Amino acid sequence: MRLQVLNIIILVILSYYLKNYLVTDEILYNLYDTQLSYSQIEQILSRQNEWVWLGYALIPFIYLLKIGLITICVYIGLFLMLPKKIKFREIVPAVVKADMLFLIPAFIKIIWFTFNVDYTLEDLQYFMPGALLNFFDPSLVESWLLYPLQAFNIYEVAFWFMLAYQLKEFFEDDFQASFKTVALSYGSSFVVWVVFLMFLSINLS
Amino acid sequence: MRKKIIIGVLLVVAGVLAYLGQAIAFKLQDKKEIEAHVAFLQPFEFNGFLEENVPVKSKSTQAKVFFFFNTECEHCQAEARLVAKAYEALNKVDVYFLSIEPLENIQKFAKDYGLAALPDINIGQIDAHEAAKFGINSFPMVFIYAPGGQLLKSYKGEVKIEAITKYIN
Repeated sequence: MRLQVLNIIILVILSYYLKNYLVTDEILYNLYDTQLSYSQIEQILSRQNEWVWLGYALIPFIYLLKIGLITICVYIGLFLMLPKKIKFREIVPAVVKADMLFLIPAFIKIIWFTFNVDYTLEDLQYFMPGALLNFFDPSLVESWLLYPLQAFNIYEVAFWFMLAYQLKEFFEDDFQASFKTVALSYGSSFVVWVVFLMFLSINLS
Repeated sequence: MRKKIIIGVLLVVAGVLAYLGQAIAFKLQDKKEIEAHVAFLQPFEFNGFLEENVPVKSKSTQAKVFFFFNTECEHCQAEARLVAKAYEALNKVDVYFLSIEPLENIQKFAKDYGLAALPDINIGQIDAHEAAKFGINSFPMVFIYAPGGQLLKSYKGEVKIEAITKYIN
């Protein structure tokens, strides 16, 4: 529980820093300037500022939902692969610990853009060190391919290994069996999730 | 038994992926067709307030700007106000405001947001099937065509007049 609270606090701080120091009004003006007038941009920004609190308020819910969904996937995997019964709450700490790996790219992003000040909102959006997207120019990639190319990254791979490592105690320290379960349960759900988002993105673009 | 359940779950996952994959492939095909249709203005007709089946030709002496709108959409209302206010800047282009809604709603929209009073603006109802060929999936959507019928630029959402005139002047 402590780790979850710590993770949420870190996420809120990172989000606050990102919104206030990296996604500046100047960056947003530059983004909208090609299509909208000054007064239109002002209106959009003031509307966004009115609702900015909601973004912070949703962080804990989104985080807990994410942890909950991953845990459900892994729980089903363990239920099917193990002869003994494991309680849902026994898996949560493993998922929470492994999930902290995703803070690394967030920190790298913040450090990178704090010291490299000449950037656009697109640079910020598509920045993901260690992702497949780095092999392409994001401006030339179809919009529906951006998410999968960002989602397949070294932190995701590390997450699978870390989760398998955390869960290996349930498999009598057999890492291979643990990894197989993670790949079949979380891995297959992750692939479905990525493809579902591609489907949504293609329909909405 | 357990093995059978695992195989069943994996089959469900594979089924979901196959369904999504097929849906993505179909949508990509649709998108390609829309892109090809939009790239060069195809002749079509719309219903004006006084006349039915008003023709829109591919080529003409002036550039054309199409605003696809919905009368309830706030951004469309704001766009109409912008056009009404800066109409002079668009006097060298044929301007079309088109919606798939009933003509009464469109007429009220034109009156409420200052378009009805403008002499050369084309406002009317377009067939939903025809609008779909432009890939309209949000409002407003703006398409700017050269006099020769080539697409110069398209926008999704509200757009300032200078962002339109820079392509036609």
